[in-house]
This record gives sequence, structure tokens and C-alpha cells, in this order.
Amino acid sequence: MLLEIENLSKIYGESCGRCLFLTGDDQGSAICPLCNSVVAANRINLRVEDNEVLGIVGESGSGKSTLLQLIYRDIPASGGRIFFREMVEEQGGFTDILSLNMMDTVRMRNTMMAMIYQNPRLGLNFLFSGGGNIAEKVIGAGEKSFATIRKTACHYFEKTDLPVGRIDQCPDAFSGGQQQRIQISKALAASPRLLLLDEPTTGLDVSVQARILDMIRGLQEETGFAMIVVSHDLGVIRHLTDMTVVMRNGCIVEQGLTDQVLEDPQHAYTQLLVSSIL
Amino acid sequence: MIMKAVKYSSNRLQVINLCKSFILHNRGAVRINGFSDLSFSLNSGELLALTGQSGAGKSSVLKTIYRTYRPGGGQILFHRDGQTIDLAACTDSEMLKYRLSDIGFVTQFLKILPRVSAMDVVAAPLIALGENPESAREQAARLLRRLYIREDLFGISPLTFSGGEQQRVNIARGVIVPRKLLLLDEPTASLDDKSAVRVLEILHDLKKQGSCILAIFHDRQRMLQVADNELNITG
Repeated sequence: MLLEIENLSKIYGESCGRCLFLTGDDQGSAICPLCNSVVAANRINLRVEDNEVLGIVGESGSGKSTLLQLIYRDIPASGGRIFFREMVEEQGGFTDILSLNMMDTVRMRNTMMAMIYQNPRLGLNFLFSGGGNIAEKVIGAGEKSFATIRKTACHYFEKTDLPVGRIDQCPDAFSGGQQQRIQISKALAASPRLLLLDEPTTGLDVSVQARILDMIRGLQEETGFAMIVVSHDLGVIRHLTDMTVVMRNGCIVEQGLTDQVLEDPQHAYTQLLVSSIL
Repeated sequence: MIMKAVKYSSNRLQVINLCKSFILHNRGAVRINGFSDLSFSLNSGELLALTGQSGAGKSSVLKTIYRTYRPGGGQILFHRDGQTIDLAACTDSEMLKYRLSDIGFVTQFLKILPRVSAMDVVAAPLIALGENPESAREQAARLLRRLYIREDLFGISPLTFSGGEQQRVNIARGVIVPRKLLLLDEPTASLDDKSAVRVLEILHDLKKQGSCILAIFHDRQRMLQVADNELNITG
């Protein structure tokens, strides 16, 4: 296993203590009837192996992005555990990454796990140049030579088809599609074993979307990192993923091989989703 | 639901009481039966042809074995390297691995992205197994030539090809890696005689190499030229 999630939960609001049992797909709502807390992740169990690409689909508010943010430790969890094989305790056991201190979280993000956000403003520092954003990861991984850092930044700019001549410009000076590619460069600079992507191409026009998805897929095949891709677009899921998880009301309602989920959906909601493809 | 006698020795694949039905929740939870209690076995180097009327569930059987359809009951025992694996019960991750190296599926229609050239489409399964891309493309070109695809089409997306050409690209992609188990859904349906003969020749070669093949043919004459057994499915 590369990543193993056990009983992961996230409650927004003061929990009455019974929220997890009063919400979920069976209850038809993610909002607790007693205390009005929102349960965005309800006892999620999930496993990702090396090299695998997992898709997460579901309607708005189903908890897809929350799940990614919990894994990347952008938000604190309300319960559960996440084991990531790259983070090992001194005794040799796996560390629950939810219990990592800030230093170790930064180390994990600089050298093992990366995230690409739908909104480049979340993934990039707009006060730094494009190259500076990449350098942040390279420096975080322990590199001290300016020449090497510069060379690495140029390398990833080239790799993601960005104009190397503009490496010193801030993200503002780049188009939306280019900003996404700077995010990809930055993520790659962390040489991740696991890459998290939250709606990476939503809002981009189709030709740019296709180029970016092809690039992500090509890089994944070349380097073999695992990915978790959140998207509401089944085309993106079909293109990128091997396996798919369907979420609703904070719960996983179905999971399977991507072709199985799309061609033989089991859950009523998945059947509705698949029959809604244009 | 029965079929001609099948041998039960040195099997590669053993299907026992396999069932599949579909529940359509958005149509008042109506239950559609795919097939039920299907049993057969298949040895290395053998080709078993699935026959039956249109709608009898032939394609569903192939998709269920490949796990594109989730098996509804029964076992799909696949014997591999001295181990027996139940494909109906293994995890999704395990199934992915078997698909990569051991089990191939040539679907009825070619489903690919419109930006990939014919040669790259065919070479992809080899590259996925770690083959050097140059050598994979060479092997792909050789196979495409063997299937009478014109050389000037190699660099173009197969989605712009004729139906018969697309089917040949699909077959090339399915057989470029010799699989222990190969599932074929109407591989010769839209081919002219010359190409169909070539495809049958390739299937004979694969049998000699020890592949076991489960296939649906629309043309009985062609089926008889390559099949060792026949399994008639009644829906």
C-alpha cells in the first residue's frame, strides 16, 4: 500500500457527538438534524497502491475536495487515520500523517506528496516568480546551490511546455492554462510519490484542458507516481484514472475499476450520474 | 444453458456458475438478467467460441470476465504461475495488474483518444509493460503491416480510419502483448476476406504460443476455422 485511509471523518461545526450516525448517504443528507453540523467526510476508508490513478467523482458538496484537503493536511480531520508509506516512524511502523507536526508536514509536502488546486492562487505564491515557486520546493528538499536550483526550475518549465524565457515573471503574467502548468511544475519539483489533483482543468477551454490532461497522464506514466484526481467531469475521469470512487453526502457510495463504474454502475446515484453524460 | 463437452484438465480458465444481472434503480429498480449459471473451462492453446442469438449475453460474459461488469455470482478461476486466482473475487488493484500483463480484451469497437496515432495506440500496451518505446513502435509497425494497414496511416489517429481499419488497429493493440487469456468480441465483423484470413492466422499463432482465447464471431465459417469448442448461450 502507498496510502491507506481509515475511518476518516471531517465535521464542520460543533458536533453533537452523533453527527456521523445521523448523516450520510443512507440518511440522505450531510447535515446533522440535531446540531446542523456538516459532515463532509463520513468514516471514509480507502487504499491507494503505487502507480495507481484513483478518481473521485460526486456532486458539489459531496466531500470530494474535503477528502483531498484532509490527505494534504490543508484542514484538520475530526477523526480517523491516514497512513502514507513514505512517512515511517523511527521504530519502523507507519506514521499516522494526521498526527504530524508542522515541520514533518512541510517535509512531506516538499519531498513526497504534492497537490494541484483548481484555483492556481491556492497552489502558487503570486508574489514569487514562476521559477521562485518551483524553487520553494527544491530548496525545501534541501538543495542549497543557486545554480542547481535555477537549473531544476528551468528543467520543469521546459518539461511542462512553459516558456523558459519568462521564468522570472510572476504567475499573474501567465494565462490560466499556463498557471496550471506552473502548478504542475511546482508539484513535480517535489518528486512526489502521490499527486493530488483537485479539478485540475475545470474552467479551461477544451484544447488547453486536453493538453494539460495529456501532459499529466504522460508524466504519470513516465515517473510512475500515484494520483488521486477529483473531478465532476466523467470525461476527465475516464481519460486519467484506473479506479473510481463515487461520493455523496460525505460517504463513498461506490468504488470500482473505472470502466466498471462507468459501464456497470451499481448505486442509484452512479447510474444517474452516468446516464447524465452529454 | 449448456454447451459442448469441455475437458477439465490443465485448465487455464475455469468458469463456475457465473451469473450477471443488472438492477436499474432509475427505472423502478427493474432487474435485467444478463446470463446465469454459466460454467465452462478452457485450456492453454485453446479457443472457445461463444455462440448464441443477438442479446443472449455473449458480450456480457466477456465483460464480466474482464470485470468491466461486476460479477453477480459464481467463480472465474484463472490459473497462473502455479496459483489459482478467482477473478470474480480479487481486488480491483489485483485485477489491474492482471489486465496489464495477463488478460487482454479486444472490444467490438475501438475506443481511444482522438490525439493518438495508430502506431502509438498499438505500442501502448508494450510500453506499459516497460518495453523500450522505440522497439515497441517497431513491433507495432510490423503488426500493422501484417494486418494490411497502409504505412502512410501509421502516424494518424485511427478514429479517422474506416471501420475495418479501426478494427484491425484494435486487434493489433489487443494482441501485441501475448496474453495468457485473450477475450475477443467479434474480431472479424467488418473485415474483408484478406484481412480476416490474416486475423485468423494471428489467432492460430497465439494458440500455438499457449494463449487461451474466448471469442465471439459473427461469422460461423470463420469461427469453425479457428475454434476448438463451441459454447452456446441462450439468454
